[in-house]
Amino acid sequence: MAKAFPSQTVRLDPDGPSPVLSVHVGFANVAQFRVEIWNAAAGVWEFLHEKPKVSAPDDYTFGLSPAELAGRHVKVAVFEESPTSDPNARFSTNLTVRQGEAIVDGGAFPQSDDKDTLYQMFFKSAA
Amino acid sequence: MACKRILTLVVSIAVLGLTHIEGGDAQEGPKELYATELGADFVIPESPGLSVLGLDPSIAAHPKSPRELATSLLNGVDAQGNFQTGVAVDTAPFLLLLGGDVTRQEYLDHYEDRALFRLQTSIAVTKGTEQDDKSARLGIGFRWVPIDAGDPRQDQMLADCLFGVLTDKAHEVSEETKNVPPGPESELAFTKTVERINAEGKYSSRVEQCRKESGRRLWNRSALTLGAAPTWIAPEGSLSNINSSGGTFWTSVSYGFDRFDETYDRKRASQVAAWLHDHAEALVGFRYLLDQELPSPADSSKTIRQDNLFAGGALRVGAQWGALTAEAAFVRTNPDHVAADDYYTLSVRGDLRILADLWLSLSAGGEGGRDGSDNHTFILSSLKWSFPEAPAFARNL
Repeated sequence: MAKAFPSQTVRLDPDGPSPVLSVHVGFANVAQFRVEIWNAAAGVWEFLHEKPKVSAPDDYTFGLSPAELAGRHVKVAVFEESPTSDPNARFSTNLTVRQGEAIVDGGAFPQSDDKDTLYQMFFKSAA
Repeated sequence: MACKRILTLVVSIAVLGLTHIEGGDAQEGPKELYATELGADFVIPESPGLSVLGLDPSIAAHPKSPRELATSLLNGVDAQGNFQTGVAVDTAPFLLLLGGDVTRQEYLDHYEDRALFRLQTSIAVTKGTEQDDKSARLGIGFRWVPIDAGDPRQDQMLADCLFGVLTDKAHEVSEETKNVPPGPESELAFTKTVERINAEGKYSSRVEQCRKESGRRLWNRSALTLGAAPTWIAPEGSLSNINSSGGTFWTSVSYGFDRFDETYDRKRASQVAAWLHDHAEALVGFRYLLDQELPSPADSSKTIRQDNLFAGGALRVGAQWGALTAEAAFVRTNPDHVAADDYYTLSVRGDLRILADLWLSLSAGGEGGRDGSDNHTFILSSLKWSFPEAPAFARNL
Protein backbone atom coordinates (compact mmCIF):
# COMPACT_ATOMS: atom_id res chain seq x y z
CA MET A 1 0.00 0.00 0.00
CA ALA A 2 2.95 2.32 0.52
CA LYS A 3 6.19 2.47 -1.40
CA ALA A 4 9.30 4.56 -0.78
CA PHE A 5 11.98 4.60 -3.45
CA PRO A 6 15.66 5.03 -2.55
CA SER A 7 17.08 8.48 -3.12
CA GLN A 8 18.09 9.08 -6.71
CA THR A 9 20.77 11.50 -7.89
CA VAL A 10 19.44 14.01 -10.42
CA ARG A 11 22.05 15.93 -12.44
CA LEU A 12 20.95 19.38 -13.52
CA ASP A 13 22.34 21.50 -16.32
CA PRO A 14 23.67 24.53 -14.40
CA ASP A 15 22.95 26.77 -17.39
CA GLY A 16 19.46 25.37 -17.96
CA PRO A 17 16.12 26.65 -16.67
CA SER A 18 14.62 25.74 -13.33
CA PRO A 19 13.65 22.07 -13.36
CA VAL A 20 10.03 20.96 -13.65
CA LEU A 21 8.61 18.07 -11.72
CA SER A 22 5.93 16.13 -13.64
CA VAL A 23 3.63 13.78 -11.75
CA HIS A 24 1.54 11.48 -13.96
CA VAL A 25 -1.24 9.58 -12.20
CA GLY A 26 -3.12 7.00 -14.27
CA PHE A 27 -6.48 5.22 -14.22
CA ALA A 28 -8.15 8.65 -14.04
CA ASN A 29 -7.51 8.58 -10.30
CA VAL A 30 -7.49 11.56 -7.97
CA ALA A 31 -4.10 12.44 -6.45
CA GLN A 32 -2.40 14.92 -4.18
CA PHE A 33 1.36 15.40 -4.10
CA ARG A 34 3.52 17.34 -1.72
CA VAL A 35 7.06 18.57 -2.40
CA GLU A 36 9.50 19.29 0.44
CA ILE A 37 13.18 20.29 0.59
CA TRP A 38 15.60 19.30 3.34
CA ASN A 39 17.06 22.10 5.45
CA ALA A 40 20.18 20.43 6.81
CA ALA A 41 21.02 23.28 9.20
CA ALA A 42 17.61 23.19 10.89
CA GLY A 43 17.17 19.42 10.50
CA VAL A 44 13.72 19.77 9.04
CA TRP A 45 11.86 19.25 5.77
CA GLU A 46 10.52 22.56 4.48
CA PHE A 47 7.38 22.90 2.41
CA LEU A 48 7.84 23.80 -1.25
CA HIS A 49 4.57 22.92 -2.96
CA GLU A 50 1.37 20.92 -2.92
CA LYS A 51 -1.20 20.53 -5.66
CA PRO A 52 -3.65 23.43 -5.34
CA LYS A 53 -6.72 21.76 -6.81
CA VAL A 54 -8.00 18.52 -8.27
CA SER A 55 -7.66 19.29 -11.95
CA ALA A 56 -4.60 21.51 -11.89
CA PRO A 57 -1.80 20.52 -14.27
CA ASP A 58 0.36 17.96 -12.51
CA ASP A 59 3.57 19.91 -13.12
CA TYR A 60 5.54 21.89 -10.59
CA THR A 61 8.28 24.32 -11.59
CA PHE A 62 10.85 24.78 -8.85
CA GLY A 63 11.24 28.36 -7.72
CA LEU A 64 14.93 27.71 -7.28
CA SER A 65 17.62 27.83 -9.96
CA PRO A 66 19.78 24.79 -10.75
CA ALA A 67 22.61 26.42 -8.76
CA GLU A 68 20.38 26.88 -5.73
CA LEU A 69 19.11 23.32 -5.94
CA ALA A 70 22.57 21.77 -6.28
CA GLY A 71 23.48 19.82 -3.16
CA ARG A 72 19.91 19.77 -1.83
CA HIS A 73 17.63 16.83 -1.04
CA VAL A 74 14.01 16.97 -2.20
CA LYS A 75 11.22 14.51 -1.51
CA VAL A 76 7.87 14.15 -3.24
CA ALA A 77 5.06 12.24 -1.53
CA VAL A 78 2.18 11.19 -3.84
CA PHE A 79 -1.16 10.06 -2.43
CA GLU A 80 -3.65 8.49 -4.82
CA GLU A 81 -7.26 7.35 -4.60
CA SER A 82 -9.69 5.77 -7.05
CA PRO A 83 -13.13 7.36 -7.53
CA THR A 84 -14.63 3.89 -7.99
CA SER A 85 -15.32 1.42 -5.23
CA ASP A 86 -13.78 -1.43 -7.23
CA PRO A 87 -11.75 -3.45 -4.69
CA ASN A 88 -9.36 -4.34 -7.50
CA ALA A 89 -8.86 -0.73 -8.62
CA ARG A 90 -5.31 -0.10 -9.74
CA PHE A 91 -2.90 2.74 -9.15
CA SER A 92 -0.13 4.16 -11.24
CA THR A 93 2.28 7.04 -10.60
CA ASN A 94 5.14 8.25 -12.75
CA LEU A 95 7.55 10.97 -11.71
CA THR A 96 10.02 12.77 -13.97
CA VAL A 97 12.27 15.81 -13.65
CA ARG A 98 12.77 17.91 -16.78
CA GLN A 99 14.70 20.94 -17.84
CA GLY A 100 12.95 22.37 -20.85
CA GLU A 101 11.53 19.44 -22.82
CA ALA A 102 14.18 16.90 -21.89
CA ILE A 103 14.20 14.58 -18.91
CA VAL A 104 17.40 15.29 -17.06
CA ASP A 105 19.99 12.68 -16.16
CA GLY A 106 18.60 10.65 -13.28
CA GLY A 107 15.26 12.41 -13.58
CA ALA A 108 13.21 9.37 -14.65
CA PHE A 109 11.93 7.57 -11.57
CA PRO A 110 10.53 4.04 -11.45
CA GLN A 111 6.78 3.66 -11.88
CA SER A 112 4.81 2.99 -8.72
CA ASP A 113 1.61 0.95 -8.56
CA ASP A 114 0.93 1.77 -4.92
CA LYS A 115 -1.57 4.24 -3.53
CA ASP A 116 1.03 6.12 -1.50
CA THR A 117 4.51 6.67 -2.85
CA LEU A 118 7.59 8.55 -1.69
CA TYR A 119 10.18 9.72 -4.21
CA GLN A 120 13.49 11.16 -3.01
CA MET A 121 16.10 12.95 -5.06
CA PHE A 122 19.46 14.57 -4.49
CA PHE A 123 20.23 17.38 -6.91
CA LYS A 124 23.72 17.71 -8.31
CA SER A 125 25.20 19.96 -10.94
CA ALA A 126 26.11 18.15 -14.15
CA ALA A 127 29.04 20.51 -14.68
CA MET B 1 -60.86 -7.14 -12.30
CA ALA B 2 -57.99 -8.67 -10.38
CA CYS B 3 -55.68 -5.94 -11.60
CA LYS B 4 -58.13 -3.26 -10.49
CA ARG B 5 -58.36 -4.78 -7.01
CA ILE B 6 -54.58 -4.91 -6.76
CA LEU B 7 -54.14 -1.32 -7.82
CA THR B 8 -56.81 -0.18 -5.38
CA LEU B 9 -55.08 -1.99 -2.55
CA VAL B 10 -51.65 -0.65 -3.49
CA VAL B 11 -52.93 2.90 -3.64
CA SER B 12 -54.69 2.44 -0.30
CA ILE B 13 -51.52 1.18 1.32
CA ALA B 14 -49.52 4.03 -0.15
CA VAL B 15 -52.01 6.63 1.10
CA LEU B 16 -52.02 5.01 4.54
CA GLY B 17 -48.23 5.10 4.60
CA LEU B 18 -48.00 8.70 3.47
CA THR B 19 -50.51 9.78 6.09
CA HIS B 20 -48.21 8.48 8.80
CA ILE B 21 -45.04 9.75 7.23
CA GLU B 22 -45.76 13.39 7.93
CA GLY B 23 -45.37 12.82 11.65
CA GLY B 24 -42.19 10.82 11.14
CA ASP B 25 -40.60 13.55 9.07
CA ALA B 26 -41.37 16.24 11.57
CA GLN B 27 -40.10 14.37 14.59
CA GLU B 28 -37.14 12.44 13.32
CA GLY B 29 -36.06 14.28 10.20
CA PRO B 30 -35.59 11.07 8.21
CA LYS B 31 -32.76 10.95 5.76
CA GLU B 32 -33.20 10.86 2.05
CA LEU B 33 -34.03 7.48 0.60
CA TYR B 34 -32.64 6.38 -2.69
CA ALA B 35 -34.16 3.78 -4.90
CA THR B 36 -30.96 2.10 -5.98
CA GLU B 37 -31.99 -1.41 -5.08
CA LEU B 38 -35.63 -1.40 -5.90
CA GLY B 39 -35.98 -5.03 -6.76
CA ALA B 40 -34.85 -6.89 -9.83
CA ASP B 41 -35.03 -5.24 -13.18
CA PHE B 42 -35.58 -7.51 -16.04
CA VAL B 43 -33.57 -6.54 -19.05
CA ILE B 44 -29.90 -5.95 -18.36
CA PRO B 45 -27.51 -8.61 -17.15
CA GLU B 46 -24.65 -7.21 -15.08
CA SER B 47 -22.32 -10.04 -16.01
CA PRO B 48 -23.12 -11.01 -19.60
CA GLY B 49 -21.29 -14.30 -19.56
CA LEU B 50 -23.25 -15.52 -16.57
CA SER B 51 -26.63 -14.51 -17.83
CA VAL B 52 -26.45 -16.42 -21.07
CA LEU B 53 -25.60 -19.56 -19.19
CA GLY B 54 -28.82 -19.23 -17.27
CA LEU B 55 -26.93 -18.83 -14.02
CA ASP B 56 -27.55 -15.18 -13.36
CA PRO B 57 -31.09 -14.79 -12.11
CA SER B 58 -30.43 -11.30 -10.82
CA ILE B 59 -30.51 -8.73 -13.55
CA ALA B 60 -29.10 -5.31 -12.80
CA ALA B 61 -30.37 -2.13 -14.34
CA HIS B 62 -28.32 0.99 -13.89
CA PRO B 63 -24.78 0.51 -15.21
CA LYS B 64 -22.07 0.24 -12.61
CA SER B 65 -18.46 1.22 -13.04
CA PRO B 66 -16.70 -1.58 -14.88
CA ARG B 67 -14.35 -3.57 -12.73
CA GLU B 68 -10.86 -3.91 -14.08
CA LEU B 69 -10.63 -7.61 -13.36
CA ALA B 70 -12.89 -9.81 -11.31
CA THR B 71 -13.41 -13.52 -11.09
CA SER B 72 -16.31 -15.36 -9.55
CA LEU B 73 -17.22 -18.95 -8.94
CA LEU B 74 -20.54 -20.15 -10.31
CA ASN B 75 -22.92 -22.65 -8.86
CA GLY B 76 -26.49 -23.00 -10.00
CA VAL B 77 -29.19 -24.94 -11.75
CA ASP B 78 -29.75 -24.45 -15.47
CA ALA B 79 -33.10 -24.30 -17.27
CA GLN B 80 -33.19 -28.11 -17.53
CA GLY B 81 -32.74 -28.53 -13.80
CA ASN B 82 -29.14 -29.73 -14.05
CA PHE B 83 -26.64 -28.51 -11.51
CA GLN B 84 -23.87 -26.48 -13.12
CA THR B 85 -20.63 -25.26 -11.69
CA GLY B 86 -17.96 -23.07 -13.25
CA VAL B 87 -16.05 -19.84 -13.26
CA ALA B 88 -16.52 -16.38 -14.74
CA VAL B 89 -13.98 -13.68 -15.47
CA ASP B 90 -15.09 -10.08 -15.97
CA THR B 91 -12.72 -7.43 -17.13
CA ALA B 92 -12.59 -3.95 -18.65
CA PRO B 93 -9.78 -4.64 -21.14
CA PHE B 94 -8.89 -1.08 -22.11
CA LEU B 95 -8.96 0.05 -18.51
CA LEU B 96 -6.78 -2.89 -17.60
CA LEU B 97 -4.24 -2.48 -20.41
CA LEU B 98 -4.15 1.27 -21.06
CA GLY B 99 -5.64 2.79 -17.90
CA GLY B 100 -2.24 3.54 -16.38
CA ASP B 101 -1.56 6.05 -19.17
CA VAL B 102 -4.76 8.06 -18.73
CA THR B 103 -4.87 10.87 -16.20
CA ARG B 104 -8.10 12.20 -14.74
CA GLN B 105 -7.88 15.35 -16.85
CA GLU B 106 -7.40 13.33 -20.04
CA TYR B 107 -10.35 11.16 -19.08
CA LEU B 108 -12.54 14.23 -18.61
CA ASP B 109 -11.38 15.86 -21.83
CA HIS B 110 -11.61 12.90 -24.20
CA TYR B 111 -14.83 11.00 -24.83
CA GLU B 112 -12.92 8.19 -26.55
CA ASP B 113 -11.06 7.42 -23.31
CA ARG B 114 -14.32 7.23 -21.38
CA ALA B 115 -15.96 5.08 -24.05
CA LEU B 116 -13.07 2.60 -24.10
CA PHE B 117 -12.86 2.41 -20.32
CA ARG B 118 -16.55 1.49 -20.18
CA LEU B 119 -16.28 -1.58 -22.38
CA GLN B 120 -16.56 -4.72 -20.31
CA THR B 121 -15.97 -8.28 -21.42
CA SER B 122 -17.01 -11.41 -19.63
CA ILE B 123 -16.12 -15.05 -20.12
CA ALA B 124 -17.96 -17.79 -18.27
CA VAL B 125 -17.46 -21.54 -18.42
CA THR B 126 -19.69 -24.06 -16.65
CA LYS B 127 -19.77 -27.82 -16.48
CA GLY B 128 -22.57 -30.18 -15.52
CA THR B 129 -21.79 -32.11 -12.35
CA GLU B 130 -24.39 -34.86 -12.58
CA GLN B 131 -23.95 -38.31 -14.03
CA ASP B 132 -26.27 -37.78 -17.00
CA ASP B 133 -25.14 -34.23 -17.74
CA LYS B 134 -21.60 -34.10 -19.10
CA SER B 135 -22.14 -30.90 -21.03
CA ALA B 136 -19.82 -27.92 -20.83
CA ARG B 137 -20.96 -24.40 -21.71
CA LEU B 138 -19.07 -21.31 -22.74
CA GLY B 139 -20.35 -17.75 -22.86
CA ILE B 140 -18.50 -14.64 -24.00
CA GLY B 141 -20.14 -11.32 -23.28
CA PHE B 142 -19.56 -7.73 -24.25
CA ARG B 143 -21.14 -4.86 -22.38
CA TRP B 144 -20.60 -1.27 -23.38
CA VAL B 145 -21.88 1.90 -21.76
CA PRO B 146 -21.30 4.65 -24.35
CA ILE B 147 -23.24 7.20 -22.27
CA ASP B 148 -23.05 7.36 -18.50
CA ALA B 149 -23.83 10.64 -16.81
CA GLY B 150 -23.36 8.82 -13.50
CA ASP B 151 -19.70 7.96 -14.06
CA PRO B 152 -17.95 8.50 -10.71
CA ARG B 153 -14.72 9.44 -12.50
CA GLN B 154 -16.53 12.49 -13.88
CA ASP B 155 -18.07 13.53 -10.57
CA GLN B 156 -16.28 16.76 -9.62
CA MET B 157 -17.80 16.79 -6.14
CA LEU B 158 -16.46 13.30 -5.51
CA ALA B 159 -13.03 14.34 -6.80
CA ASP B 160 -13.04 17.40 -4.52
CA CYS B 161 -14.04 15.23 -1.57
CA LEU B 162 -11.28 12.68 -2.25
CA PHE B 163 -8.78 15.48 -2.82
CA GLY B 164 -9.60 16.92 0.60
CA VAL B 165 -8.99 13.55 2.25
CA LEU B 166 -5.68 13.07 0.42
CA THR B 167 -4.53 16.59 1.34
CA ASP B 168 -5.22 15.94 5.02
CA LYS B 169 -3.39 12.63 4.77
CA ALA B 170 -0.40 14.29 3.09
CA HIS B 171 -0.26 16.89 5.86
CA GLU B 172 -0.34 14.28 8.61
CA VAL B 173 2.41 12.20 7.01
CA SER B 174 4.50 15.32 6.44
CA GLU B 175 4.10 16.46 10.04
CA GLU B 176 5.09 13.09 11.45
CA THR B 177 8.18 12.74 9.28
CA LYS B 178 9.39 16.35 9.14
CA ASN B 179 12.52 15.74 11.21
CA VAL B 180 13.60 12.47 9.60
CA PRO B 181 16.70 13.08 7.44
CA PRO B 182 16.85 12.08 3.77
CA GLY B 183 17.85 8.57 2.75
CA PRO B 184 16.89 5.14 4.09
CA GLU B 185 15.58 6.59 7.35
CA SER B 186 13.16 8.75 5.42
CA GLU B 187 11.99 5.74 3.36
CA LEU B 188 11.32 3.74 6.49
CA ALA B 189 9.58 6.59 8.28
CA PHE B 190 7.28 7.19 5.31
CA THR B 191 6.20 3.56 4.90
CA LYS B 192 5.72 3.05 8.63
CA THR B 193 3.71 6.24 9.04
CA VAL B 194 1.49 5.53 6.02
CA GLU B 195 0.90 1.94 7.07
CA ARG B 196 -0.04 3.01 10.58
CA ILE B 197 -2.41 5.68 9.27
CA ASN B 198 -3.96 3.24 6.80
CA ALA B 199 -4.39 0.63 9.55
CA GLU B 200 -6.25 3.18 11.67
CA GLY B 201 -8.74 3.50 8.84
CA LYS B 202 -9.39 7.18 9.52
CA TYR B 203 -8.92 8.26 5.91
CA SER B 204 -10.32 5.12 4.29
CA SER B 205 -13.61 5.66 6.10
CA ARG B 206 -13.73 9.23 4.82
CA VAL B 207 -13.01 7.95 1.30
CA GLU B 208 -15.91 5.51 1.62
CA GLN B 209 -18.14 8.33 2.78
CA CYS B 210 -17.15 10.40 -0.27
CA ARG B 211 -18.05 7.49 -2.56
CA LYS B 212 -21.31 6.85 -0.74
CA GLU B 213 -22.38 10.46 -1.12
CA SER B 214 -21.43 10.34 -4.79
CA GLY B 215 -23.50 7.18 -5.24
CA ARG B 216 -26.48 8.99 -3.77
CA ARG B 217 -26.01 11.92 -6.10
CA LEU B 218 -25.59 9.77 -9.19
CA TRP B 219 -27.97 6.87 -8.59
CA ASN B 220 -30.42 7.93 -11.27
CA ARG B 221 -28.23 9.63 -13.86
CA SER B 222 -28.87 8.87 -17.50
CA ALA B 223 -27.05 6.05 -19.24
CA LEU B 224 -27.13 3.90 -22.34
CA THR B 225 -26.01 0.28 -22.20
CA LEU B 226 -25.49 -2.13 -25.10
CA GLY B 227 -24.63 -5.79 -24.82
CA ALA B 228 -24.19 -9.04 -26.69
CA ALA B 229 -23.18 -12.48 -25.54
CA PRO B 230 -22.95 -15.54 -27.81
CA THR B 231 -22.80 -18.99 -26.19
CA TRP B 232 -21.58 -22.44 -27.09
CA ILE B 233 -22.23 -25.89 -25.70
CA ALA B 234 -20.21 -29.12 -25.81
CA PRO B 235 -22.82 -31.84 -25.12
CA GLU B 236 -20.22 -34.44 -24.15
CA GLY B 237 -17.93 -31.97 -22.45
CA SER B 238 -15.32 -32.21 -25.20
CA LEU B 239 -13.99 -29.21 -27.07
CA SER B 240 -13.81 -31.33 -30.24
CA ASN B 241 -17.59 -31.26 -30.46
CA ILE B 242 -18.71 -27.78 -29.55
CA ASN B 243 -21.76 -26.12 -31.08
CA SER B 244 -23.32 -22.71 -30.97
CA SER B 245 -26.14 -22.54 -28.48
CA GLY B 246 -27.46 -19.13 -29.34
CA GLY B 247 -26.86 -15.99 -27.41
CA THR B 248 -28.41 -12.86 -26.07
CA PHE B 249 -28.49 -9.21 -27.14
CA TRP B 250 -29.71 -6.33 -25.07
CA THR B 251 -29.90 -2.61 -24.70
CA SER B 252 -31.11 -0.33 -21.97
CA VAL B 253 -31.64 3.38 -21.54
CA SER B 254 -31.97 4.92 -18.12
CA TYR B 255 -33.12 8.51 -17.95
CA GLY B 256 -32.51 10.66 -14.88
CA PHE B 257 -34.48 13.69 -16.08
CA ASP B 258 -31.24 15.47 -16.97
CA ARG B 259 -31.78 15.70 -20.74
CA PHE B 260 -28.83 13.30 -21.12
CA ASP B 261 -26.64 16.28 -20.36
CA GLU B 262 -23.70 15.54 -18.08
CA THR B 263 -23.51 19.23 -17.19
CA TYR B 264 -27.27 19.67 -16.64
CA ASP B 265 -28.01 22.48 -14.18
CA ARG B 266 -31.02 21.50 -12.09
CA LYS B 267 -31.14 24.95 -10.51
CA ARG B 268 -32.43 26.33 -13.78
CA ALA B 269 -35.12 23.68 -14.09
CA SER B 270 -38.72 24.00 -12.99
CA GLN B 271 -39.67 22.74 -9.54
CA VAL B 272 -41.16 19.52 -10.89
CA ALA B 273 -38.21 18.86 -13.21
CA ALA B 274 -35.74 19.48 -10.38
CA TRP B 275 -37.63 17.07 -8.11
CA LEU B 276 -37.63 14.37 -10.79
CA HIS B 277 -33.93 14.97 -11.41
CA ASP B 278 -33.18 14.34 -7.74
CA HIS B 279 -35.63 11.53 -7.03
CA ALA B 280 -36.67 9.59 -10.11
CA GLU B 281 -35.35 7.41 -12.88
CA ALA B 282 -37.09 5.96 -15.92
CA LEU B 283 -35.68 2.84 -17.58
CA VAL B 284 -36.46 1.25 -20.90
CA GLY B 285 -34.89 -2.03 -21.93
CA PHE B 286 -34.90 -4.66 -24.61
CA ARG B 287 -33.41 -8.13 -24.48
CA TYR B 288 -33.45 -10.95 -27.03
CA LEU B 289 -32.38 -14.50 -26.23
CA LEU B 290 -31.65 -16.51 -29.33
CA ASP B 291 -31.85 -20.31 -29.60
CA GLN B 292 -32.29 -21.14 -25.95
CA GLU B 293 -32.40 -24.92 -25.42
CA LEU B 294 -35.27 -26.15 -23.24
CA PRO B 295 -36.86 -29.52 -22.39
CA SER B 296 -39.66 -30.36 -24.82
CA PRO B 297 -43.11 -29.96 -23.22
CA ALA B 298 -44.24 -33.11 -25.08
CA ASP B 299 -41.25 -35.30 -24.15
CA SER B 300 -38.95 -34.21 -21.35
CA SER B 301 -36.17 -36.45 -22.64
CA LYS B 302 -35.93 -34.26 -25.74
CA THR B 303 -35.10 -30.59 -26.11
CA ILE B 304 -36.45 -27.80 -28.23
CA ARG B 305 -35.01 -24.45 -29.24
CA GLN B 306 -36.75 -21.25 -28.34
CA ASP B 307 -36.25 -17.50 -28.81
CA ASN B 308 -37.31 -15.13 -26.05
CA LEU B 309 -37.93 -11.43 -26.33
CA PHE B 310 -38.27 -9.12 -23.35
CA ALA B 311 -39.18 -5.45 -23.72
CA GLY B 312 -40.08 -3.35 -20.77
CA GLY B 313 -39.80 -0.24 -18.76
CA ALA B 314 -39.61 0.84 -15.17
CA LEU B 315 -40.05 3.98 -13.15
CA ARG B 316 -38.15 4.28 -9.89
CA VAL B 317 -38.67 6.93 -7.28
CA GLY B 318 -36.83 7.51 -4.01
CA ALA B 319 -37.52 10.25 -1.48
CA GLN B 320 -37.86 10.85 2.24
CA TRP B 321 -41.15 9.02 2.38
CA GLY B 322 -39.76 5.85 0.82
CA ALA B 323 -38.89 4.27 -2.46
CA LEU B 324 -41.03 2.70 -5.13
CA THR B 325 -40.50 0.98 -8.45
CA ALA B 326 -43.12 0.11 -11.02
CA GLU B 327 -42.22 -2.24 -13.85
CA ALA B 328 -43.99 -3.48 -16.93
CA ALA B 329 -42.66 -5.95 -19.47
CA PHE B 330 -43.80 -7.57 -22.65
CA VAL B 331 -42.49 -11.11 -23.18
CA ARG B 332 -42.63 -13.21 -26.34
CA THR B 333 -41.54 -16.85 -26.30
CA ASN B 334 -41.11 -18.35 -29.73
CA PRO B 335 -40.31 -22.09 -29.71
CA ASP B 336 -39.38 -23.89 -32.93
CA HIS B 337 -42.35 -25.42 -34.78
CA VAL B 338 -44.83 -24.02 -32.23
CA ALA B 339 -46.84 -20.82 -32.26
CA ALA B 340 -45.35 -17.93 -30.31
CA ASP B 341 -46.79 -17.00 -26.93
CA ASP B 342 -47.03 -13.35 -25.91
CA TYR B 343 -47.71 -12.16 -22.41
CA TYR B 344 -47.05 -9.24 -20.14
CA THR B 345 -45.96 -8.76 -16.56
CA LEU B 346 -46.63 -5.88 -14.21
CA SER B 347 -45.21 -5.28 -10.77
CA VAL B 348 -44.94 -2.63 -8.10
CA ARG B 349 -42.66 -2.89 -5.10
CA GLY B 350 -41.10 -0.65 -2.56
CA ASP B 351 -40.75 0.59 0.99
CA LEU B 352 -42.87 3.27 2.55
CA ARG B 353 -41.67 5.04 5.66
CA ILE B 354 -44.46 5.18 8.22
CA LEU B 355 -42.39 6.41 11.14
CA ALA B 356 -38.68 7.03 11.47
CA ASP B 357 -37.94 3.33 12.01
CA LEU B 358 -41.17 1.80 10.86
CA TRP B 359 -41.47 0.72 7.28
CA LEU B 360 -44.11 -0.87 5.17
CA SER B 361 -42.60 -3.09 2.53
CA LEU B 362 -44.89 -4.14 -0.25
CA SER B 363 -44.87 -5.82 -3.59
CA ALA B 364 -47.67 -6.53 -5.99
CA GLY B 365 -47.89 -7.72 -9.54
CA GLY B 366 -49.08 -10.24 -11.99
CA GLU B 367 -49.03 -11.41 -15.56
CA GLY B 368 -51.58 -11.86 -18.27
CA GLY B 369 -52.12 -12.91 -21.86
CA ARG B 370 -50.27 -16.22 -21.60
CA ASP B 371 -51.63 -19.01 -23.81
CA GLY B 372 -53.12 -22.12 -22.23
CA SER B 373 -53.01 -21.06 -18.61
CA ASP B 374 -54.75 -18.76 -16.22
CA ASN B 375 -53.32 -15.35 -15.71
CA HIS B 376 -51.55 -15.06 -12.42
CA THR B 377 -51.65 -12.23 -10.00
CA PHE B 378 -49.92 -11.95 -6.71
CA ILE B 379 -49.90 -9.45 -3.93
CA LEU B 380 -47.78 -9.38 -0.86
CA SER B 381 -47.59 -6.71 1.74
CA SER B 382 -45.86 -6.68 5.08
CA LEU B 383 -45.32 -4.32 7.93
CA LYS B 384 -41.93 -4.36 9.58
CA TRP B 385 -39.59 -2.45 11.82
CA SER B 386 -36.53 -1.51 9.87
CA PHE B 387 -34.17 -0.96 12.80
CA PRO B 388 -31.49 -2.21 12.63
CA GLU B 389 -32.19 -3.57 9.17
CA ALA B 390 -32.49 -1.48 6.05
CA PRO B 391 -35.77 -1.56 4.17
CA ALA B 392 -36.35 -4.55 1.93
CA PHE B 393 -35.84 -2.99 -1.49
CA ALA B 394 -34.07 0.27 -0.97
CA ARG B 395 -30.66 0.87 0.52
CA ASN B 396 -28.35 3.81 1.19
CA LEU B 397 -30.40 5.27 3.95
